[in-house]
Amino acid sequence: MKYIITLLSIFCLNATSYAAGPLALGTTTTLRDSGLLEHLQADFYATHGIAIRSVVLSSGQVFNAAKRGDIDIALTHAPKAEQAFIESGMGLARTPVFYNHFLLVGPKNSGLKLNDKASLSDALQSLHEQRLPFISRDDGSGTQAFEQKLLSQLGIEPSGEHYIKSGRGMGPTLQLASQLQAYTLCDWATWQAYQAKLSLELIVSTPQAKQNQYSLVTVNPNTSAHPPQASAELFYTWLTGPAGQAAIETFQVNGQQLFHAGMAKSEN
Amino acid sequence: MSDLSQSFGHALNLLLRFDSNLWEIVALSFRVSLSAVMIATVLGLPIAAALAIKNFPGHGAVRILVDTLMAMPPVVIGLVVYLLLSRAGPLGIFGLLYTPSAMIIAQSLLITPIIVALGLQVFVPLWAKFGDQFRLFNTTTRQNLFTLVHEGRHQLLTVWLAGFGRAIAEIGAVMMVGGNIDHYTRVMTTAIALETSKGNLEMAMALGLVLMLMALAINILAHSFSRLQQSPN
Repeated sequence: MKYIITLLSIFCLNATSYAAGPLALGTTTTLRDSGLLEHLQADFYATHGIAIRSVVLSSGQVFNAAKRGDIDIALTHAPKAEQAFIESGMGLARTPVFYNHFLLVGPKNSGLKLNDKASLSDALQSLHEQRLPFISRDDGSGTQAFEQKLLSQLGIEPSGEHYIKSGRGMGPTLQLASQLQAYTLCDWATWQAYQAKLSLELIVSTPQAKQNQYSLVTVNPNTSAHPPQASAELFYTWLTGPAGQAAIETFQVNGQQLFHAGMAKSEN
Repeated sequence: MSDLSQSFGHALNLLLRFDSNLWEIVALSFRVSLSAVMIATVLGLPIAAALAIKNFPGHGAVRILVDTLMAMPPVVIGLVVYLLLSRAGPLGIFGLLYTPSAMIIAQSLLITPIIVALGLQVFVPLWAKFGDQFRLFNTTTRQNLFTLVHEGRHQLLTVWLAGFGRAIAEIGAVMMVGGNIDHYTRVMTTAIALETSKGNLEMAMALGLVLMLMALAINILAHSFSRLQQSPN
């Protein structure tokens, strides 16, 4: 008996009450690495006094964790996975909250010849035709979902030595691309945060395309293994409302705005 | 080379300035791994003693199992604990996933087999030495256990340090069940991985050096303590 008490007491020394704990936000590496997450957490705390604990995963993993009831609300950039989550009945609502765009980055003095108006799609096609090294995230992330969408539109099923799968987040993948002098797709915010440390340059950037849409997805309390905290709704109202949207617009790194509030009109 | 010396300077600077972020991470690492090693000791030593003292059916199988569990990769332990503690899992009602408690549970499971297997190495020769006397004086099992632990305390310190070393250096399990949440479940190893992935190699290396310095300090303490106790003999 004493024995069990000893074990329990060691454990209890470390336990605190989690009954009405902080909000568990499931989100993606791009938001942490760009610094936006910290900015939003601080703003939300200042307004509502509620701490946010961000669990940073790939978009695919976020929805898995949401299904298991381990996070209260999701902030991701994988429209297809978000819609599937809602259609499965696990998710309640999906609201686009901010966006930026994707880029193609690659070695300096790139061997890729493109005309000035080339789109990401055109660039991927040329890369594939010339069998130049390209790194795919292959980690179930929103960036990978976007790459898959472009490739399937082009009817390309990449394989071979020039198609490298990193299986890692955006930052490590950029570093890998820099070391291997390969090409990769990247979001605008992560590129801004990392470019100084890389020997890579921008190959194609089309801000007007606004392809990278981030959305807030709420979890259905009736189907989840554990109903989300009440503060999830508060966060939803805040981020989709004027105060949250202003917090996104005003966020800058090195004088550059990284995200635009609202929904990209071109979203499909 | 300049990278390394720069990192070293950076590490010392962070330590001496008592950088609050750094100390928070260091403190959590110690809290988690010390708790884990205590739980593993309380669980593991009696098992080791029982294996050393008693011969029961399946004795050999248990020893093979313990040795096998020693080779269990931290990520696998992490995955098992994740599935157990997740809200959808059997222990989900406690809401322990992504908390320091979850990290302690995972690390305890990771190092208990190490404590058992290494503890056994200490107890077997001791039992060979004292077993007959115990039988002669007809002592209770509990008295036997205390005598064995007391007699083997110096070697057990090494066992304990091995367990602690394994726990504090481990990343796979704490990353999976803790989630590397800033100011909450971020420990030294997950912070090093994060800083490396962000390309802040200097900061990552500084954290690594802090980890090494801490390990050095603990070992110096442990060994001088052990020598102090041994000197009167």
